[in-house]
Amino acid sequence: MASLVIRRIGWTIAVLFVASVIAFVLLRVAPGNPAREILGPTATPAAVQNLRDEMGLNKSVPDQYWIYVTHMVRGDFGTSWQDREPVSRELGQRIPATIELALYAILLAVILAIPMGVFAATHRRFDRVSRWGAVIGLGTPSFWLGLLLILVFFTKLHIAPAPFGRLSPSVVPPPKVTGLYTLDALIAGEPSVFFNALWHLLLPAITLGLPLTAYLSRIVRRSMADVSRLDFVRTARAKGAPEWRVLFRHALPNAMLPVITLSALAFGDLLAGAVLVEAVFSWPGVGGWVAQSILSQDYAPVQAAVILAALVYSVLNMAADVLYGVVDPRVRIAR
Amino acid sequence: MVLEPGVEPLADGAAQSAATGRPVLHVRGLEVEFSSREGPLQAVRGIDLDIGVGEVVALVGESGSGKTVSALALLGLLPYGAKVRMEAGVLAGYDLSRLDRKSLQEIRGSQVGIIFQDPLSSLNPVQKVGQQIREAVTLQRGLRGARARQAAIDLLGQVGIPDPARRYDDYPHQFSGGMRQRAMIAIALAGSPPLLVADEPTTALDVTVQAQIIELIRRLQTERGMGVLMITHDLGVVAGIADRVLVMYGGRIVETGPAEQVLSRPRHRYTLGLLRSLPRLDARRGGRLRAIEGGPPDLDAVIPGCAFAPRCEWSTERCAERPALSEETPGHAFACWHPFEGEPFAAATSEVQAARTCEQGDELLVTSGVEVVYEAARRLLPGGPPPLRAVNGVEIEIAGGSTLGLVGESGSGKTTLGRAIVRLLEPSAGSIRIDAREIAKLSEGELRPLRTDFQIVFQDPQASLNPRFRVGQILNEPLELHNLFPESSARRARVNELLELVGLSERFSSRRPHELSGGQRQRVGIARALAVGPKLIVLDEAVSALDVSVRAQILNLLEHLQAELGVAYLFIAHDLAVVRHIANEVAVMYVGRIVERGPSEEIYASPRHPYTAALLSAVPIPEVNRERRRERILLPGEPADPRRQPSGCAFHTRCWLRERLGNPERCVTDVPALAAREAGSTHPAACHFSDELESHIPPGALMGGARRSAA
Amino acid sequence: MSALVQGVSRPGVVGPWLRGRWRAAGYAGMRVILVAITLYILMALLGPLIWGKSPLAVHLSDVLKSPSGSHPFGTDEYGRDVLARFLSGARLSLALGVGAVAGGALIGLVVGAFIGYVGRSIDTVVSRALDGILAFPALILGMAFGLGIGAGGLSATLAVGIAGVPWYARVVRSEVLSLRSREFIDAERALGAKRGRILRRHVIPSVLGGLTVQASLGVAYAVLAIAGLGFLGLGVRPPTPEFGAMITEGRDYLTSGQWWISIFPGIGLLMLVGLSMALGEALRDQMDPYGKLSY
Repeated sequence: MASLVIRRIGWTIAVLFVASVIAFVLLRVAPGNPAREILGPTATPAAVQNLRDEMGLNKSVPDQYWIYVTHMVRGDFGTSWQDREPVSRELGQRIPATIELALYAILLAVILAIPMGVFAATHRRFDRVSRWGAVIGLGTPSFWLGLLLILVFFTKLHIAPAPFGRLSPSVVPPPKVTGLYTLDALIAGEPSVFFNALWHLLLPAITLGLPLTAYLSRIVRRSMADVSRLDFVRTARAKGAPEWRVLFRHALPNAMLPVITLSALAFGDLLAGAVLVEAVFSWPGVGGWVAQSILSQDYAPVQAAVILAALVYSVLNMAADVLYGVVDPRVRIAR
Repeated sequence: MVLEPGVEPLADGAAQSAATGRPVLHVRGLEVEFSSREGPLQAVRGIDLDIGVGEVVALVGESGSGKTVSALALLGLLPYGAKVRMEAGVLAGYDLSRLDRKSLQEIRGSQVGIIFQDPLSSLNPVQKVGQQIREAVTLQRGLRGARARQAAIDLLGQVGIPDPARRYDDYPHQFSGGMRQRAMIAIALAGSPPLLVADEPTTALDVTVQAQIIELIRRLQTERGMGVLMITHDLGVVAGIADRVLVMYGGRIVETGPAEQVLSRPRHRYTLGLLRSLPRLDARRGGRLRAIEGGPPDLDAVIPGCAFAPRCEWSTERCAERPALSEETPGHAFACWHPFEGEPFAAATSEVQAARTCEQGDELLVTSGVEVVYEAARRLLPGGPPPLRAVNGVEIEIAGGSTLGLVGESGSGKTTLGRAIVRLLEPSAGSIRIDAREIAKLSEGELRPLRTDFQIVFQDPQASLNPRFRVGQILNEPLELHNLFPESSARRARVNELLELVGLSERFSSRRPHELSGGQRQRVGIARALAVGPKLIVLDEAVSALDVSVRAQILNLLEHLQAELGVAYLFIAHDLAVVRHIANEVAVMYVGRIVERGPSEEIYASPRHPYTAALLSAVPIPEVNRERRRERILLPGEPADPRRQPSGCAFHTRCWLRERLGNPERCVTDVPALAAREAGSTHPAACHFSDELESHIPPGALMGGARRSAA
Repeated sequence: MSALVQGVSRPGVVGPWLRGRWRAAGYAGMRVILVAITLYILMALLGPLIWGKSPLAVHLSDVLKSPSGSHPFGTDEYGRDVLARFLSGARLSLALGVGAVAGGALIGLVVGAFIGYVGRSIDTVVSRALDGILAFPALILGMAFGLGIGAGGLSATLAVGIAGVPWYARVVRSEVLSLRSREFIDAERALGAKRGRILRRHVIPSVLGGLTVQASLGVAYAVLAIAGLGFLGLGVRPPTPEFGAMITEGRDYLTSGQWWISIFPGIGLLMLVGLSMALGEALRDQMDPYGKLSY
């Protein structure tokens, strides 16, 4: 077990290394003159050069990479041009919003997908229907779906809140404990804030979570179908176990094993999805900020987001592998 | 079917049935149909089945006979989409014909316990073994908590698992094969059912373990007065345990009767053919096997008359009309228009050709000190698992044109050795000389031109052929690779030659593997090996995956090819009867070493190693009286794990001789060398006490050679 | 099954291959999907030619007209015909999506087959490198590329293609790993076949089936990613019509009632993505009869 964890950590570091190189190469290779952008068109060439020196842009590429990495490890992701603030600070402020959104998307997906998947695996007619549902769910572009939902539920039906933030303008955020408004509101005992935050989370979470739900339900269904062929399911029946027991005590636990690993990959993609969804709903999270930064050619936040994506993915993957090792006794206990 | 007074059965159901005198299982007209893309498949075409209280009934057949499907159908365990029909079906008072799949759940476990073929895949891998037994106990007896746990531990003890309280918390992958099957039996017996269905319970187990499990089933059956439905293809197992036997072919029952009668005086031509085509330990050695031509019928075929007619030497036009089961002697029925009369093996003796004397050529293959050691993957942390010594110093010799049989159970290393000899892997140490040429350490490039001298045929005929290639292309590969016939027309001619050589017509050249039967595929595999004209062919369990009736065909083919082409064989197998038939010399392997070696006759008649003796006594013989009167040598436990080799003599942990000699220390401290009694003898054994073996072998334990006369 | 298995063809046997596929497609609604895809492809390729109106021509007098006879999909804020843009966009999305996948799958096939077969240290090293790339969702990589080498259709397609390589390589690698110990491969080795030959003749043809399934699904994800980048402004640059960019352009008009500018491109995306995904699933069903349920 211990060797498994150590190997996974080593692997994660290796992957992060490769990721950082990729991110660095791509962004440094960009044409354009960042210093000039910051100082504006009226700056003198000398001032531009000075700033370039300061930013380290005149050093050799390996040197730049080294500075970049050492800064990154210390948590310093550079400075954003747009607002002259350090990226890490802005990042820190915005992460909770994205985490909250992702969390509810995942919650939604898990609560819906697992029962749907099991149901599809045991009822043929539903399975056929749900396949098409999954195709639509996975295939609908999330940004388009978001716009559609806003059109229908906000513009036409006036059920949903205006897509401009995490709380209605008149509502004050709860005292910060985790940064997640719903959680903090519960902790502080402010039910009205809790419901308001939840109301605002509704459409974005559905938009972000729909493709995930569709994906998860399909892999649960497929895994259940694979497991249903295996002999031990027949043994469970042969023991005289009722169908529900065969399904939930024998088939499902075994089916969930591969689902764990596949879910990790899917959750990692949530950050990418968040960029689009936050852009549509003007959600004050990391994703939206990244979308903005792209438009204003601001490198540092994008760079940070790229590294963040890789980090999230690697950590999730490692967690999935370790979890698998814990849950599957064949891995946990050698012969 | 009433039990004798004074015998108290433990099963409630059995008592009920005993009280009413009715059979435990009564089935009439069972039919099973599957739907597939190609149309409906008739797996079972109307069979009748009766099992009395405490009676052991064997259902015998090959693949496609419908034996497994029948049993599963009765219990509602077939996959979705199977259509089951029956005129009547009663199990311990329950009407099977009225219950659907879900309702049959009530009788499963309580009225009938089932054990399956592959115990590893039949147990839930993520649940402790003890918990799985406890679940059965809870479901069947309503016990919960600590009482259920205790009951489960008791059951583990009853099925012979040592240290059951500790073993309760183990997972299936921590159990060995035999232990898993015992656990399955414990699960099946949790509800004390009056009937036990055993579907090929020992097919996946080693021979010595098979003997243990059969013995266990026999004991439990007697103790509990259970009826047993034993589904198997092994007539030896039938002889050992069954009171009655039903022979199935093509979804129908072709013969039924008391086991002793059916096996010694079969009437149906199929049963006769089957019995005659089996290589047996108790028959004379040598001579061709009387194989049944052709293969089992396809399930989607409509069979108007007798299903066996196409393969039957004695079939006439009458056989186009389906024969009904007719009973001539009471209790013994068969469905054949031209039943056999007489002694099945009397004719055999007169037809037996003289034992093949092969022309012994010079030494073709000589190995010495061959080792194959798998190092565990390098870990960051020290103290990983010890290296796996699959082959631990092996010396064998094969003369040109002769056959060396290599026998052993799982973990013996025989397959690894075979692969090392054809250089599919590189041995870690030792020498392998073929035709006096050392090949153990050659590079792939140096080896390539030499590969025409040695080839291999694999166990699984399906996996050994590329499913996307046509047969012609498959056989073309070796010719192309070694540039044997530069012109394509010459190659094509050679391909046809090869097909003919293995008994297939030219038409097969354009077929794909999935269109061929198992036997035909294996013929292609043999043809491929022959294509380059090798002097030595390694046959790695080449007939083990084939149906029994097809096995004899392939064995005859191999013998014929050897006589014609003078090719030598290294015949690797676990089936001792088959090896005895085909091999001139035999070597027995245990945990990576050769423990005995010598001419076939001597090994089987007077073995010099206790392991060989135990192996021989474990092989079931398809003859009821002798099989039941034998005193078996039962080995405890399972073949040792090559990863955890015992010190000294690897066999000492299971050695029955050692026990009888008072557990001498020497077996634990000294590794015995492979040595013969006198210098120059060709029958060495690796045992410190091989000289004392003969006096300790129970009479009748071995079969080979002990009776030289025919049945 | 055999029709599909032999269907992944050597070049030059397309005719019989097509016929074989059609036969094999007789069930599971596969025929419906194939017909629908053919229609979509025809629409995308020929549509712009047939419809005639220009997707780029600006008519400031015809701004923001709702759908009508002469403009079945309406016009956008520059008076451009939305249907014309739709058809152009369909063609573009199809081309870019298939292009990205074709490139990625090809590279992934070669890399995956090689490391899967050869194994050992090469496998370890290359797998880590692939994992490094895999850590980036296609969209994020597209952002990086977009900033790095300049946004546009090329950078988006390149990024999405590269992002897919580790995915295909993994799929191929795992299939090769299981094939490697199959006995017919051993038989070839015993005959003395060289590694390259075995890869070429035996291993790669056997994995093509699984790869095709993944590629179909991959087209769906690639198109989505490219459109997503277009939506963010990092994909195909306006005025070239691309579904994602068109959705962004029409975004502000949604609330004021001119829904057609954003909605139709979304439907176009949904059609293309949905069809590719359906094709992938149907192919997977054919290859794996065990997808059937047995409860």
